[in-house]
Amino acid sequence: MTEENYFHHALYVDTVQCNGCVHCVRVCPTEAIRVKKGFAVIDANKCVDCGNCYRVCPVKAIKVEQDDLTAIFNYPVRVALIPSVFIGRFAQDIKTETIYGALLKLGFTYVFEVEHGVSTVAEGIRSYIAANPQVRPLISSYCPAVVRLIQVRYPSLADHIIRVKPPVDVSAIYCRKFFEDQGCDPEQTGIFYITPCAAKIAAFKSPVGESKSPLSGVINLDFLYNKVLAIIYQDRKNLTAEFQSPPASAIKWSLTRGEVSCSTVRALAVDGMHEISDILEKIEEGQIKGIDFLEMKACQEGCAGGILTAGNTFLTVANMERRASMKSHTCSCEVSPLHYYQSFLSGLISLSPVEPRSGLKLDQDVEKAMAKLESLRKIELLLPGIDCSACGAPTCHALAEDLVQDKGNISQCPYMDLLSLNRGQISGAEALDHAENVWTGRIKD
Amino acid sequence: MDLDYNIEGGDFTHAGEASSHLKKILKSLNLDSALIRRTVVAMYEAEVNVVAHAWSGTIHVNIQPDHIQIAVRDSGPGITDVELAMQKGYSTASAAVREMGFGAGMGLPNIKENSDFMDITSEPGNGTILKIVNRIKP
Repeated sequence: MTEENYFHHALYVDTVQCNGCVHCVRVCPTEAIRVKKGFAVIDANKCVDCGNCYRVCPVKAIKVEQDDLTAIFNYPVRVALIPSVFIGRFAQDIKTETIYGALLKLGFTYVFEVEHGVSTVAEGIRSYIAANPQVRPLISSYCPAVVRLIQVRYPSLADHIIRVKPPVDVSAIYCRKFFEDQGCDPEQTGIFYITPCAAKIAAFKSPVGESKSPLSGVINLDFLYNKVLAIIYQDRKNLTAEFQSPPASAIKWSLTRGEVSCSTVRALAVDGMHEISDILEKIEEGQIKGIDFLEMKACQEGCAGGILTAGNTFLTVANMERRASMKSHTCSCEVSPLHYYQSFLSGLISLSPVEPRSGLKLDQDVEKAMAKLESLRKIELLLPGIDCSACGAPTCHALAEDLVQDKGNISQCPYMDLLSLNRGQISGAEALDHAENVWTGRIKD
Repeated sequence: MDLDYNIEGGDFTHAGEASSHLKKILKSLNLDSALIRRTVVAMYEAEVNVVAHAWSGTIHVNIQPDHIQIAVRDSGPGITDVELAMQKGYSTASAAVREMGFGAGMGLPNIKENSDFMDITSEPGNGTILKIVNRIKP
């Protein structure tokens, strides 16, 4: 596959809703979005599916591609693989067994929590860190948006990513094997992950470090939350199911510091795309020393802050912490469902190397790139430098980058156009046409 | 292409900004990521040396299609014994500097490790000139 169409994205722009404002353009950590002819356009080679655009869009024009719930009925065995943030999303007066019961009523035949896979992953991470002392710090592969950010913006750190699969993959592999051992055809076992974010949907569609995802499909957590809540409102008393909660420390794995708190090495936890970028820059420059393990989660407070977790992030965190502390007070003699599969799973948890990609180059060829960089620096001196985004690019620098790569026109800048108009180089009508290349149809009206 | 930076002695908060800027430039040139990393690490160490030991300094970077040259000039106390300074673990950093996590005596050895060519000329009492060259392989 060529680098140009390597990435599959779960985020897309609904051009009916999009009004061409630049909120998304300005928050994108990889500067992947431009407004052209009245709509936001996402550059597939730069997008890492972090969802910052989704959060800020005032008209809900950023959509998340997802599997339809009816897709589960293509399989006789239908597993809902739920992350613990899904349980945490519900108010405290709704019992876990009620949520499990509602999922079964929706049509799933089995409900399993992702975090049962945590102990296998934590063990894998521990051995990986011990076996690779020459690379420091090693970075968790947990968050797919972080893995992609490293590929695109910090390619020199690609070999710092710990080549151990995240808990969702381990749990999915376990479920498939478990049902196979029960006599179910693996092809007939549908394993559906309920995702708190878009990055995990993209990771399922085009996995990094795996040839194929062990999942059958991915379902939007927010969508399913609403479905489950509706059933609970209608039939709360009759909903129940047997369930086993993951261990207390595993429940919090998806929260910020969840991985670090299970670690015995020198570790650091960071969340939020901006803070993550700052730390990755410093690591590249050799400024950060004395850290063995780095946990990074694109969303603030980890997956509780996922774009599809919706609701209030801190309430979700509080619910999860409460559940974990209740769990830690119960009998610890429980055997993990994965216990009898440890040796089977430990042979399957490795990821292939993460391929670096270069999302920042001006040109493939060094000499051409240098020439482009020279003209970029000259153009930057001409532009106003106020980063207003009226041109449809996030900053004046980003517009200059577009210009030297023939991806834009200087007339997109309203200040430059005003200058040309004042000098008599263009007519008023031409200036309006130029403006409409960014803001279609809303100026002349 | 030429890039120039001014470094202020004692300003640890902003140490690393010049190397960070150079890194962005090098990334846009589609250079090998290992080369970028080596170059930036070497420059960062040099930057910290100026901040930690000198009163002020300048960095001049010249990028050619086949190599990157970095020249760091500072006004500072200079290095009395360059050979000794090149030894791993040898440091003249003050206790205050060490408290900030710098001054482990790895600066110059680290620069050497991360450059293809390195040269230091120093005039004690006056200042130091450090030159680094990293080759760009086609």
